[in-house]
Amino acid sequence: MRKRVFLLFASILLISCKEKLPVVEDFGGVHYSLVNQKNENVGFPDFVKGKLVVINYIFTNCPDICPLGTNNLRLIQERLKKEKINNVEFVSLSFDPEFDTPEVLAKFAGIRSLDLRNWTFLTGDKSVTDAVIKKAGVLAVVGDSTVFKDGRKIFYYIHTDRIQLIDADARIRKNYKGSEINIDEIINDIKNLG
Amino acid sequence: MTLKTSGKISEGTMKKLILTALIIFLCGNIFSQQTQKNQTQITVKKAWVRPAAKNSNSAIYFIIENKGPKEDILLSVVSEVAELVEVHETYKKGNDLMGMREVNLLHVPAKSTLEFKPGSYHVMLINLLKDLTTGLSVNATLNFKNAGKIPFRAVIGDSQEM
Repeated sequence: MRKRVFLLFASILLISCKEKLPVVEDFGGVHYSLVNQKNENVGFPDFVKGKLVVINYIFTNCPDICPLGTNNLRLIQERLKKEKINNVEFVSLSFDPEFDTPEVLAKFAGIRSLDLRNWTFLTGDKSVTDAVIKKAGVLAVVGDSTVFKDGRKIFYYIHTDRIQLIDADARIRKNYKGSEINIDEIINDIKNLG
Repeated sequence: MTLKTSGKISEGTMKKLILTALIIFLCGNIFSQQTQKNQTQITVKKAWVRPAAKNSNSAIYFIIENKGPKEDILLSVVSEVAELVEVHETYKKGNDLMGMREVNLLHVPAKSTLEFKPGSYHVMLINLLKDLTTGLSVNATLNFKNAGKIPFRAVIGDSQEM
């Protein structure tokens, strides 16, 4: 009897934990044609449906905040490996696709020795990446810039510092501050959704 | 041997005295300037730089320690690993928006430390001329108004973020 009560209590607790992550936005009914770091066509979120997704939004000319968020994805990936949790995919989507070509994204990942077995970098037409970030509630607008002697110009974005957790039905379930995310918090959320 | 003492200083002796005084004055002045520079006592500690690919950007982080009795001003930074080197600052805008802007003339008060760290001040390496691979290092030089050039070496890696 005691065992049954305990199991019932544990089940209620587990269900209530899952209920604690409301649906922030739903990617379920949409399809975006993008390109990965290998220059392959990828349909987002189709290619990750059925899995939990940890996603961040970056531009590779960003030397500070975006690498911090990306490094946090790496730390989450390493924790999940240690805990043998395999149903999670990682996605880094560029909101500066004109500069962040597949080749640039591949170099960005390669120099950091990122494990791309379950991690995809995405780019594509600016109109499409803009549509994705708009749906995700991420803002990225051109701020400062650097002009080289020969007239070349690179732009720095003012952007939302965000990592998101997406469930197996392509629904955004939680937003985190990308550069300061609490790794334990998202690991617990992944366990609760998984 | 006899020594002539006429009571007058000869023209030759006068020239020698003036020359000696001039040398002493110049030496004293140089020594004084050197002492003033040493008084600033600027050091750079715990320098590291993010790994990044050639033709992209990176950032150097470190701690500036000013043990001297006077404020100093960071005027510029140079490094041969990038086409342009600037001091930048990451700033918050609104709730969770982040931006970045160039900073000129960064003041380091007397007997204080100034930390260049993720999400704050950093030395921006713009358009890298080579890959920055983890485990290697890059050389850079801070140029201060009083302390002059302070060279340092930054280790390439992400380990400081963990």
